[in-house]
Amino acid sequence: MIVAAVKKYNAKNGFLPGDMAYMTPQLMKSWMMQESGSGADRHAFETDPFQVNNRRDWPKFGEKEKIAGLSYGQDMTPETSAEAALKWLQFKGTVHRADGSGASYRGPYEALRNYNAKRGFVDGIPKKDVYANDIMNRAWASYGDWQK
Amino acid sequence: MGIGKNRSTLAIFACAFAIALLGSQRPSESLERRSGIWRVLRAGHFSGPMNEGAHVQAIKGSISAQGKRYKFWEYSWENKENGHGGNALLVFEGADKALVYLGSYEFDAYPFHGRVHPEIRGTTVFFPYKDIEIMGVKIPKEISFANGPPAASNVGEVYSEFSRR
Repeated sequence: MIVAAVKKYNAKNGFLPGDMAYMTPQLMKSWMMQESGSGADRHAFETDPFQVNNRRDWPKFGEKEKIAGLSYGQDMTPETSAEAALKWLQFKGTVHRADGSGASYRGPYEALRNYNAKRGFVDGIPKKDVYANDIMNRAWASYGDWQK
Repeated sequence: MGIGKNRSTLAIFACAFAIALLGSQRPSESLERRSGIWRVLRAGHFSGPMNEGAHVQAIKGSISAQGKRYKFWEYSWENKENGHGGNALLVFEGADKALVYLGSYEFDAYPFHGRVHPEIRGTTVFFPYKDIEIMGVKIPKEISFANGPPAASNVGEVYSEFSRR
């Protein structure tokens, strides 16, 4: 499921290894583990493993509908979750011009920080940074340089 | 002795029943906020969470522009299920007792250098981010309301359209 979603995303956007927005199955798996990897998250893991369409999140301005093609309360599958999460992550990592068009991409770390957007700090570090650090560190520990 | 035992058993059942009743309520319904500014938000069809994970804080001052007076509140939410969250600048029109919710802009309240609270400076809402310049482009730090609420904001790292929802 992850490999298929990543292939489709990279192919659709023309991303190649080394591109800022290029996604790999390794990074995506680490990301999924962060979102729904614990035993307590089994339902989330089986329906919306990337937690991209949780009813208690705020789908501000219908952005998720517009960007990720999701509707509020839509029944999710791991496949729809993965595809929508990649679109949403790309949006969250994009630097926008004043007219809303995309200017550049900040990279996966910044995108993950904004995907989660947790509030508050842990030992002086923003929680969303801890979130992104956990994902990147797990991917590195498991796969080394996953972008190779 | 027998009667005392029965009373204890009844008390235990009563407690268990009360706990079961409380536990059966969905968390999102158990602590919905409905008074004060939340009532104004509900009247304005605000769609963000208004439960125990949502918080608001008034921003001191107001902006008068083109014959209208704007008031602002900070809003933050967190989904306890998955830890996702966010922050928004809520925009209202009118005086304290007769506020009307107009819409909101998402913003980053937790950049690398610490918590940021927006503040009013003249006809702008200013976000005290550090000065950052990427490839010659300075990161915007304010939203001007000189001509009313703009269609979108682009402060810090967040682009956000203005909308009532």
